[in-house]
Amino acid sequence: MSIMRRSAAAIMAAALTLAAAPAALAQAAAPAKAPAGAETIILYAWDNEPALLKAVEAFNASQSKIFVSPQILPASEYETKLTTLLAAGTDMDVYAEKRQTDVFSQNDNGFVEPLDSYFARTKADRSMVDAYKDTVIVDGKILGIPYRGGAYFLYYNKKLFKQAGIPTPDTYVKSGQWTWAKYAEVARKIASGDGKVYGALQYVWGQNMVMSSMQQGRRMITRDGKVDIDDTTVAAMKMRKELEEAKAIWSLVDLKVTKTHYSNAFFSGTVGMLPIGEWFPSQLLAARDKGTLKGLDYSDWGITRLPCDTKEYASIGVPTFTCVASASKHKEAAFTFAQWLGGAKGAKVIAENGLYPPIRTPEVKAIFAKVIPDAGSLAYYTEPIKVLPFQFSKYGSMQEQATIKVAEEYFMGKVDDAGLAARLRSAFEGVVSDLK
Amino acid sequence: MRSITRTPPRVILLFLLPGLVGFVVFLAFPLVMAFAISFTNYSGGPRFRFVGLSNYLRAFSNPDFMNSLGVTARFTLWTVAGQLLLGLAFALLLNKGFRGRGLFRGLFFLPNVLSSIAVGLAFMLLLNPQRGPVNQALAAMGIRPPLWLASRSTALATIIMVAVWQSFGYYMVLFLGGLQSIDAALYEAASIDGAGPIRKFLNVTLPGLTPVTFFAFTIAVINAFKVFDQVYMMTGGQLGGGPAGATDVLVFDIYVNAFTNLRFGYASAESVILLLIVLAVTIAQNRGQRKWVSYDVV
Repeated sequence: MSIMRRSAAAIMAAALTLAAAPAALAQAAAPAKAPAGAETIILYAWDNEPALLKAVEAFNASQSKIFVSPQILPASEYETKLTTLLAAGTDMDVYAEKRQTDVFSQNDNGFVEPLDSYFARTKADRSMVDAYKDTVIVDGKILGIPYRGGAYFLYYNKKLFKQAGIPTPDTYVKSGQWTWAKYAEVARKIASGDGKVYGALQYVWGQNMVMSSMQQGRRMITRDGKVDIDDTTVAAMKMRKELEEAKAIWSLVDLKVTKTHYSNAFFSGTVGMLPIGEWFPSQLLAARDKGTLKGLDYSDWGITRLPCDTKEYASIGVPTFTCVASASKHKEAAFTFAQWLGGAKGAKVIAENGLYPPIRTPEVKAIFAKVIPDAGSLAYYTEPIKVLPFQFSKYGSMQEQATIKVAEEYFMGKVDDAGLAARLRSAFEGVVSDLK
Repeated sequence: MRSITRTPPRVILLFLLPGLVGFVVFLAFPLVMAFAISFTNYSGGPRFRFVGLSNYLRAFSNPDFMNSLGVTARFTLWTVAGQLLLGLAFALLLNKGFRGRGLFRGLFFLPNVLSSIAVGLAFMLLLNPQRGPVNQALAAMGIRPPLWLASRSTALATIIMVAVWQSFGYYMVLFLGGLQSIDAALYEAASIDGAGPIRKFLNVTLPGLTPVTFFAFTIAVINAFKVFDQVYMMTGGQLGGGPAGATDVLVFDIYVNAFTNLRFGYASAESVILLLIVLAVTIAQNRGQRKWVSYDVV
């Protein structure tokens, strides 16, 4: 009997130890030590954001009153884990928002600290907030402070343009001809027609189906739940369909089922143009340093404006921002860090790591000059532009899914040209109705 | 010698406790919570309210949910048929004595122990419409290669094919066990009565396999309703379920609503509906077995 009792106790102890082991192993890597007397704040971020961690190091080194301790989560699980951590009331002072539209749900649940009074009280620089007021200000409240700007640019492969014997897109920008029709024409000329070389690649995200429409102010679904589409939305999808059928651009479905990432496709040198966000130079820089630029040299790419059908140029984009947790016991310190990160000093560090800060100071431009391969591209990358937010509302993620689903139905022939507008409208109305 | 009846109850409880705790923490409690959350608009935080049956009503009026039900039903029908028929066919073949039988049994069972994620990824690469080796081989033979996952008409069939390939080995092993438990004397008696191979199969083998078939059928149906990994891996991750909803199975719809859209209340309602469907099907199967399952043949 005593042997049984001891055996049972040993088995229980072993089981409990094994159960505790994963929790211990899951701890983030031990951060650097906080200076004596410093107020420690906890920052949550995801793991493929090295620029943010560099900024944290720079902040910690620049002063001794506040110490930022980063807790890093895997990027692929970040949104889910952040939701769980917030719901569980985990110790958290500031967090980076990866899926920006989640801020609406977090705000509804009272997890986000509004920062208006902090800016008013401290008179801190809020230019980074004002630059993206359509995004980070919700119902009059400042919910986040951008540390990465958001804007789409057109990246192009100079080599493919030279091989095709046609002018690069910046030539058309300078002559005022850079419309979506010209973009389609250029894509067809660059493409080989057999899927070996594509004129362009428009990635799988919802906004990439309707870029031209969003540039003209269409939101698909407005923040107050109205469906906002018109002929430009139909025209955008129609253009994409025609280009896919001509194999001038990579097909949406093919991108998804082959898990082709836009960066790898561009790095292979088989894509002429890539309309994508401001973060891309950092990926090109990393690819150069890792030696994964296979089809082009680092000097073979350029940046220019997106095609635009309106007189006044506008890009589309959403910034990446940090939020102060409402349950934080160090809100002032968390605000100080978040504001520093989005301000001039944080912008310098962000730019040094190839990312696009929300404010572009002369110092930032000088840093980019070392990263962007030519002066013309640098000018386009750093010029002050109007940026219209895409799908940034509480309907955001469902709106994106609906856009992609209708796009697939249209591209696969389940919906024809005449029925596209009605199908889009019904899909978006379904989204609004689901969230009532 | 000690008898079991003299073991103190607290010792029995101590041994039952780990399993019981696991059952309560990981099964019973989440089940009750999912049911409770399905009546709310919970979105991951403290500010939620009771919404009654609106999540359920919303589900049945939502075209995406109804599409998911249809896709799941089709997936279940074809996958269960494929797994059981292939499992039985290979069990019959591998029940005969020949050299290397053990090796082949192991090989056919092997896919079952592989990770679904790895299998999905591997088939995604193999079936790449432009660059995959399968289509390149078909093109080289002059056969027009299908688009596999890139077409609405073949995407679900592709997922079914992968699911059947991965799992039929498990059902083959079940049927092998069933075949070996059929009394050989029955086959001898059938031979004496002049029965040929087909007659023996229909009148001895199949009736003798009915208990195993019932078990395999029940398990296959339950597993088919729960399909997720292959769809997630092979159709585009969080943006998958396509093209155009062709592979949007119910569990995938639940996943997207919960973890992408943060609509935990609605996703919980979908989960409860799934549970009720599986429960109804299982009860129907259990009742129906009295008509066709014979436990006294062997």
